[in-house]
Formats: sequence, structure tokens, C-alpha cells
Amino acid sequence: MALLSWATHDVEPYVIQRHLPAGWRVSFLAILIGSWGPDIFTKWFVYGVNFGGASIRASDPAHFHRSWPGAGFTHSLAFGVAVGLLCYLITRSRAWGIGLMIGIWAHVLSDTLDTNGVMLFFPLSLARVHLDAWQYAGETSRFMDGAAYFSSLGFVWDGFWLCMVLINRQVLTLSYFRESVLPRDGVWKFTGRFIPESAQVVLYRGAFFYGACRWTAWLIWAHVLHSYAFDLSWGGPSWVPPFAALLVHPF
Amino acid sequence: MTGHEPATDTLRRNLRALLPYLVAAAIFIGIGVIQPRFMLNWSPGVGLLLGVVWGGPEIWRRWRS
Repeated sequence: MALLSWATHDVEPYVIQRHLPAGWRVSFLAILIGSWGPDIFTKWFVYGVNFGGASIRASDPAHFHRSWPGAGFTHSLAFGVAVGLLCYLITRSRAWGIGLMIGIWAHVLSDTLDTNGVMLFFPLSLARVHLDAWQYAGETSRFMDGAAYFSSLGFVWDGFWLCMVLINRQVLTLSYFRESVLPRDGVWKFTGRFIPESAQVVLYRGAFFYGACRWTAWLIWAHVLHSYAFDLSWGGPSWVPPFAALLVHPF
Repeated sequence: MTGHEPATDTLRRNLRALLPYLVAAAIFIGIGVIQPRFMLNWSPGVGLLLGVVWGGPEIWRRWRS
């Protein structure tokens, strides 16, 4: 299943886990999965998929992605609490329950920065909190969305988080993995029975690698291979039609 | 690392450790730019990383021994 999510969601978990209070036992993997979570279940339907020639796609992708009725509840603080609580009730793992909640919250708060916004306080309020730093372009297409994001302040936001990981670069070291990641999560001990530590640490660094490489490749694709114009103004890029003009609200 | 390791040796050791990641990154970015569909899902990228950084050297080491 092909989806598209931004590098921020790949790399934020490294910095967040590093800065949690020392006594907190929170799983890095749970924060990462939580950080990817809200888009894993929604973005394929936002961009659409093809099954044997038939195309399946939300009739109003921007609305479906972030609003109600639709899957917008996945981008709310309450969803983070619900998923974290459900995980805790099933697994009795506080490290995973809290980790999933923190990861989802990180994703949700990051997504307030675009023009579509999120229903932060769902179900108490259906109002979308949006800071309008860059234009939401999910309703256009996968590639146009990438081009727009990497021409706007969105790519600066991704760059900020990549820099934050580099500033906290000890999170990528083997000693940090051994001392601060592995002991907080039984999953690593379980997979350690089948996968050597040298491979586990490569997997641990994988999300940073994936985020950093995608950030670089999208920038080259959008501005060297193609010539999409940079627009670093608040709410840019101006060459993307405002999604509100395309949005057909059911009410 | 010993307390008396010269700075150039430390740099060389760090670069040697970083090299497989840089190779994997160059391959990822090359494929990603030509075919962005490659970047839409994390699994091909992480598979590539695991293959280049861990799998390849591991197979080489076993074959040499």
C-alpha cells in the first residue's frame, strides 16, 4: 500500500524519546508507530488506489482526511488517548500505551501547521485547528502534494526536525540504543532472539535514514528534475489552488 | 576507542562506519528521484538500508571466512 507522509513524522520520535523525563519508560517503536499511525489508515484513500483498473478514492479527500464525517478523528488528541488506552488494556504495557499516545499527539500537533488543520478537540469540537503555515494539497495527487510540500515552509519544518536529530545525534549511536532504547521495550529483546544486535541497530536508525533520504530526494525531484517554484511565504505555495475551493462540504 | 587514539584514526573509524549508510543513501536518493513511487512506502527503503549496511557486509564476511 502506497502512502505518503512527511519526514517530520519519521524523525520526531528520536528527539521526543530523548527528551522524555529520565524515569519514564516509553517505547521508541511505539512513538514511531504512533507518529505514522494517523496517516497509515487514511492517506491511501486520500490519494486513491487502483485495483484491477478500478480506482478507489475519497470523493472529498481533504474533508475525509481531517474532518467528520470521515477519518479526521484519527487526527485528534482523543484518538491518541483511545489508542494508547486500548493498547495498555490489551498488552498491559505502559511503555507502549504511552508511546503510542505521544506519537499520535506529535503527528496531530504537526498537522495543525497546514491549511486543512486537524480536529484537535474531537469529539468535543469538530472545529479544525489550522495555523496555515503551508497549503494542504492532499486532494490534488500524491506527486503534486509532494511538490507543493517541498516548495513551501513544509520542507523547512522537516528540515528543522532533521537538524534536531543531528543536534541530538547521540540518539543514533549504538551506546544510546543499548542504554536508552533496548531496555525500555521488550519487543527488541524478543526480536533479538532472531536478529543480531548489529541488524537491530540498523533497523532502529531506519526511520531517520528514510526521512532524511526522502527529504533530499523530494527536493531534488521537485526543484532539479522538475521546476516547481519555491514559495516560502506563510500559507504557500500560492500556485496550489486553495483546497477550500475544491472542498464540497456535505452540510 | 582508547584514550590515546589520534584524532585522524577516530575520524577514519567514524567515516568507515558511516560509509555503508552513505552508499545506501545515494542508492535510495538516486532511485527516489527517478521513480518517486519508491519513496511512498517505508519498507523498500528500510530493506535497502538493511541489505547494504548489514546484509551485504555480513554475507561478505561469512564468504571470506
